Amino acid sequence: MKKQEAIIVIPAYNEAGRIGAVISSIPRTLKVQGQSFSVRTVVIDDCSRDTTYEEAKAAGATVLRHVINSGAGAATRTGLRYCERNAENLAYVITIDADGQHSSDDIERLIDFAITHKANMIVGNRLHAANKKDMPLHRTFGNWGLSLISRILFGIKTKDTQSGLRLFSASALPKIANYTIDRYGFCTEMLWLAVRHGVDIHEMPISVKYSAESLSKGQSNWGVVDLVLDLVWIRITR
Amino acid sequence: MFTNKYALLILVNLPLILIGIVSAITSFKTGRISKKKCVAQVGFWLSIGIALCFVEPLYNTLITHNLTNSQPMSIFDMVLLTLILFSLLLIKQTNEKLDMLSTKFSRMHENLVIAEEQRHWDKEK
Repeated sequence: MKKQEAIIVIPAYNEAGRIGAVISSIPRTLKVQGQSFSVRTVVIDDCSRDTTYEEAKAAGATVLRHVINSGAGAATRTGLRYCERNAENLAYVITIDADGQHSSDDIERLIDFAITHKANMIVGNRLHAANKKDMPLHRTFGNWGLSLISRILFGIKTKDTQSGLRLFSASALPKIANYTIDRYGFCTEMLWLAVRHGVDIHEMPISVKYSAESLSKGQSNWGVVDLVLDLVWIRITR
Repeated sequence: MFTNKYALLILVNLPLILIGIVSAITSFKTGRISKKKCVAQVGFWLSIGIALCFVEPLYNTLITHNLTNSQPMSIFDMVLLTLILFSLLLIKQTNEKLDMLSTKFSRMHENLVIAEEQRHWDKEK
């Protein structure tokens, strides 16, 4: 029988110096609960101005390169569509951030959780007590606030709606990949699509590790305003 | 010729309202907008139509109670209101087209990027 495939999707923008290490930390094969998975890494370079593309290629990933900078949501969607079209025997798609804030150990834990609970969608939750010392206070409040807004607007009960570490089963993929927001609001829209299509959403605590670079990259205040406006807009119009 | 300016206001704006309603229904039928959005748009244009029907009593009440310093509605007011309505229609149409173009552009970009990667993959093979 052919090995099942798990694809790791990494949207990246100006991540030279970090992306190589993130890709290298991802195992090429995984054995979870007696099931073997071949692991492929797909990086979507969102028109970076540095050497992200070259570094990701050198680290052995499949790299898709956006011709125009389109945003994290658009880059992730390109990756998800690529998975839909190109995977053979696809079991799971896992998205992770390119800045190294996620641990590759959590990938195996997510798959293990998915097999155990027959889960179609898992969101890695960063907002728990064990991460208190690793997560700056303003990030905790920001993420908490955005999760609250998502709850008010869409009734989404997920605690960490902005988490980049997520797992989708192959069957859930077509239902959640049709989101429309190209920027950071896509995280919430994806959850909303899952709720609307009856995809079960699970949460699993994950570890998080911020570096000075990843902290400097995050969202600006205007970015947060844009995000909220995007969410309000889709709530009104869809 | 037209002694009742209120009737003229309704007459001039009626085609715009009808265009708004028909275009919302057409957009829904051609799959460009969702049912919810279509209902919202039809409701919006209907409410404008209904509001226009009550412009005369509204104006009269305002003038009777001296709530405005303006004169009774002039031809200029009528043109102004019509232009505002026309602008709304244009905004709505432009927004819809922009939305559609943006979606098409995103899909095209995605397909281009994926096709390009596959071409590289085939070459490497």
